[in-house]
Amino acid sequence: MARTRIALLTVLLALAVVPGSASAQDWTRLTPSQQRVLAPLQAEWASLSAADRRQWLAIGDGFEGLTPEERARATERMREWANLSAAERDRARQQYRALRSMPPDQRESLHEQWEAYRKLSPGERQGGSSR
Amino acid sequence: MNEMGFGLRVAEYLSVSNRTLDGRALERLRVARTRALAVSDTGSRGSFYDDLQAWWVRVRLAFSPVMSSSAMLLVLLALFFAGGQWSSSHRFEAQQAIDTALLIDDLPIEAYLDPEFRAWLARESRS
Repeated sequence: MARTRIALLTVLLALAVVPGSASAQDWTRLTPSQQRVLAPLQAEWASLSAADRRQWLAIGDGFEGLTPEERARATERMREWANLSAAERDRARQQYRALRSMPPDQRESLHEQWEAYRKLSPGERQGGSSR
Repeated sequence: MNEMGFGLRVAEYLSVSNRTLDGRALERLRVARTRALAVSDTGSRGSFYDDLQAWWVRVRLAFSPVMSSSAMLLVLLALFFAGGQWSSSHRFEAQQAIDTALLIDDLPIEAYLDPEFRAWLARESRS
């Protein structure tokens, strides 16, 4: 009897951590606040996978803690990010981890270096120094 | 725990313990059990509810080893499933943190998609 109870409790615990169904993430079922934050994605929301929707909802939930400037930037980039393939997103995440693990002095100048890099020709980017 | 539950618990312990007994002892136990059941069958008949309970106890005893194994299997499967869910949830949270950081970062997403940029940065830091 005790074993059965333990088994049932374990199963219930396991089920408790299962994420919600995809239908619960339909655009019309989002709260007004979620719809406002994720508005740039409304057009493609139906075509997003359940995992992507869950991810966006989690990102949207974190919007409260962002500064107005960060919110504006995130809103602007949402569609660009949503339109990337899974492989491209993985590549961006890897590059992000790599660049953020650089020494602080290099990290601080990343934006300037990116601007300098953008001005280079493809040949200069691949080989020669810009300096 | 009621009388029936207690009896069931004792029966389960006995079922587990008899695995270590030799053949002769097992045979003596089998004969004693048969006699006890025979006496029980000829005893006063209880209500339908008592009969049902007695039948349930026999079923539980008969399937006790199987149920025990099934319960263990269920626990293992549930733990495996819960472990997978926890790991996936942990990955999800880590990924979500990076995605949010990428969305608000001062570098555009394009910078993180350009494989040449990192190589160029490495060359620049060496020169």
